[in-house]
Amino acid sequence: MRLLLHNPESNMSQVKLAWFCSKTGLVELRAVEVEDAASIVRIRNSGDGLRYLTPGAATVEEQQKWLQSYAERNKNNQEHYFVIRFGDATVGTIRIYNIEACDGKYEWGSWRIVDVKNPLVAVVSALIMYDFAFDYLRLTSASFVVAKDNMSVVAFHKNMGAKVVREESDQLYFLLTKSDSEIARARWKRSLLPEISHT
Amino acid sequence: MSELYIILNEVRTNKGQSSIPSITRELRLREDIGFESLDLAELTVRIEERFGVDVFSDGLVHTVGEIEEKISRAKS
Repeated sequence: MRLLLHNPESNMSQVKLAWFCSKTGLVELRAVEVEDAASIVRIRNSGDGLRYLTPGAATVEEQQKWLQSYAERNKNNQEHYFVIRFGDATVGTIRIYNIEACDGKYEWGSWRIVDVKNPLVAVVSALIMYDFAFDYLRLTSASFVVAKDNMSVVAFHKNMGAKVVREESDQLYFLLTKSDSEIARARWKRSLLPEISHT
Repeated sequence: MSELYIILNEVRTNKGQSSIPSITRELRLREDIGFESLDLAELTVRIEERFGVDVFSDGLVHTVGEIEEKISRAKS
């Protein structure tokens, strides 16, 4: 993984995490910049994004403002927000936030990929993020909420070792500890890692 | 075919869907079996674990028949 943690000009982290896998090609998580606002709005508004993501900025201008406020949280290492880059295009987003370094806790969200035919790209993006959070930042547990009817995502998180800790009529609240994730992360990497290089 | 049938249904039941009663070579993974991207990813890793076959070795697959061909080719 390639890491450069702070850019004084943009006041945001300049983290870039990249894996190359022959089954996908290069998949990158690049720290968001204000210039990504239009791409983020497009991704959030595509397909069922509005249905499954927490309501957020509806316009590019609102998204730019939100990204400026994010910069403060990012500077304090409370939040890391990435765009997912694949095939020279911005195809998705992923974010960890409410990071409590002393307790090792964080929340996971904004995970969305659009217009990518290769199904493994989404998995690679999640694995990169988990490596960043659990191994690089040394956090120990992730919380997240998934709509019950988003069955593929629910199944993915359960396969990853996440446990349902609370349930509402239409939402499942998950907890994934680093130790519970190890078996699944190793399983995916057995399939993906022989051809992966960390750049 | 029967082992592939089991794997396909494992992925479906894993996400809370009922098993499909039978499969044919023409069945499309997304449109007919109802797999989304993450299901297809799970399917590929299960096939690799069971058959040692990388279904992405020369492009994406769309139907049961295409998976079968890749498995047969790898076995022969």
